[in-house]
Amino acid sequence: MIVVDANTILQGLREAVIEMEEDRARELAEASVAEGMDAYHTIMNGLAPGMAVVSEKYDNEEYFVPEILICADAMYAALEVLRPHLNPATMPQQGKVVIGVIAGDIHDIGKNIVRMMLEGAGLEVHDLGRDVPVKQFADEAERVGADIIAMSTLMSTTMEGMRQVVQELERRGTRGRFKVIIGGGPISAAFAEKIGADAYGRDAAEAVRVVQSLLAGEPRSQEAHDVAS
Amino acid sequence: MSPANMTPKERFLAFLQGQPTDRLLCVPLILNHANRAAGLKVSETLNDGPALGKAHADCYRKFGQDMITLFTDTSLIAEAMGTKLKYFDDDPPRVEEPVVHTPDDVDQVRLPDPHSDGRLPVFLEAIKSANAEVGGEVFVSCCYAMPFTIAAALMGTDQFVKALRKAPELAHRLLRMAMEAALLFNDAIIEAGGVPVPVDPVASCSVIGPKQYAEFAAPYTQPILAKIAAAGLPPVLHICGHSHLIWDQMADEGAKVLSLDRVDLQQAKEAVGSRVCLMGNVPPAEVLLYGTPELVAERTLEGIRLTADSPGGYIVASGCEVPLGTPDENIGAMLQTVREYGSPS
Repeated sequence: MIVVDANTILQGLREAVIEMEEDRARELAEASVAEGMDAYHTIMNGLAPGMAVVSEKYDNEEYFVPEILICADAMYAALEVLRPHLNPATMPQQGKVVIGVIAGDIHDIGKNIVRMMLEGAGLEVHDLGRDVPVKQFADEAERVGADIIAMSTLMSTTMEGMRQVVQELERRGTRGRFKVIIGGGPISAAFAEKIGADAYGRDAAEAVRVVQSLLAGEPRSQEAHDVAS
Repeated sequence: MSPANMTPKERFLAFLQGQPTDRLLCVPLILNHANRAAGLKVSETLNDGPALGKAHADCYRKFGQDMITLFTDTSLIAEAMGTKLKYFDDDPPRVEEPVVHTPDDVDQVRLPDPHSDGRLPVFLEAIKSANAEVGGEVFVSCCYAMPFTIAAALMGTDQFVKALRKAPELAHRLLRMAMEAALLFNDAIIEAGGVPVPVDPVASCSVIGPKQYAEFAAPYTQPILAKIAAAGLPPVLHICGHSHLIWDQMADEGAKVLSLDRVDLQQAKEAVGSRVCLMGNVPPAEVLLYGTPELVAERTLEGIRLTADSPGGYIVASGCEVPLGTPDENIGAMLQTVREYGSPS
């Protein structure tokens, strides 16, 4: 492949994600490494803007789940190449999200799309998978020092588990350390409010916006409050 | 003049024939929750047709809804074709291991015999058992997945929807088999004395776009709806989640009743109300499971008022499955509201 310059690589990565071209995304990521480009810069200026367009197309009912999954394959192919080259010393502090499908539910496509868009936006995401027990959300959020706990379910019968996670955090005295965001088919803003979650995301695109505004709004100030009280 | 005190069966027959009814039909989609009326857990009737039929008959005796709706899960037919499911104590089973991983695996997929494969015979027995109990006054229906949803369960949903773009030929091969299987089960339901009710949750606009629906869902559902219509039964099509981009296609492919979930009924009425009967869409979770009887009544009434001038008519229903553990008084409030306010004025 003939590579002209760094901007061509970034532009190409952006397009490869949008156009669902997995092989091209991988090759361009390899080229960026070979050119000595900073991996974090490549993610934030190549992959992230690509994912932002994917998210927009999903919002506008131009892309649906099949397209998003294939765009994700392209993004992950590039990420896989870039991640070993990330240099934590030169990276700004990223928001950390613990995400999972609540216990009793194994529908994880929606959660995977949210995860992908969060990663595409440059956040550090810890994916607990599906059918995740209540305690595990609390444990993992503590362990990784998460800013956000994100939970989803497609089933009305498992919604109660989300309330139990909030209660578990309260019981441990760690509720103030995390923002809790929920979403999924049967979930509503009213339900989020009812169980004491901080926010609700109607779909993946909104989930990313909400997470970003939660992170921007009160970055870790609650933690200090907790320690003090 | 409207006839008074019709049985649900008389009401449904009148509806089918375009005759006046004493009030609107009301069909909350009581599926797995029907077990509660018999004091049973989901696992206690999954493999027991007579018990499943009796639980639904008990549920009908309790609420008097206008149709019995047998159903446990959308993977039923895929299971009978080779997909492995995971079973739970008090939840419906779900896909654990799809049968198709590579194009060669399609040859492993077998057409099911509705009388012997998987849990299909359970439903045929349940239809007979429910009919023996209360079939004189109410129709017994069996909801089952359409080819698109079956194929998703044969291959795993994410792999299948990716195949629509990356391996469309493979998707079509699977869909053809899924359609053959659905037709076999459809015929067996009718032969057993049941009303087939097609559901296609994975073909929802929450998952695929209208062009994909046109290429991969509609052509395979259409022959099934035609067969139901040919049997003199109402071709209902239930699609969960969002469906606003495909209402026209649903009507075009032969559905006469659109059972809708998370949609704006006003918008649906304006789009297709002149061509089809609308059915829906009291929200299952926030209203039926977590709401009060007052909220249920309010939302039920809202649907009745919004569709009062919809030319194709309206059936009061929940948007999707009535959740396990929904309070009796909430289901009761829905039916009571229709009894009070669902009569022609």
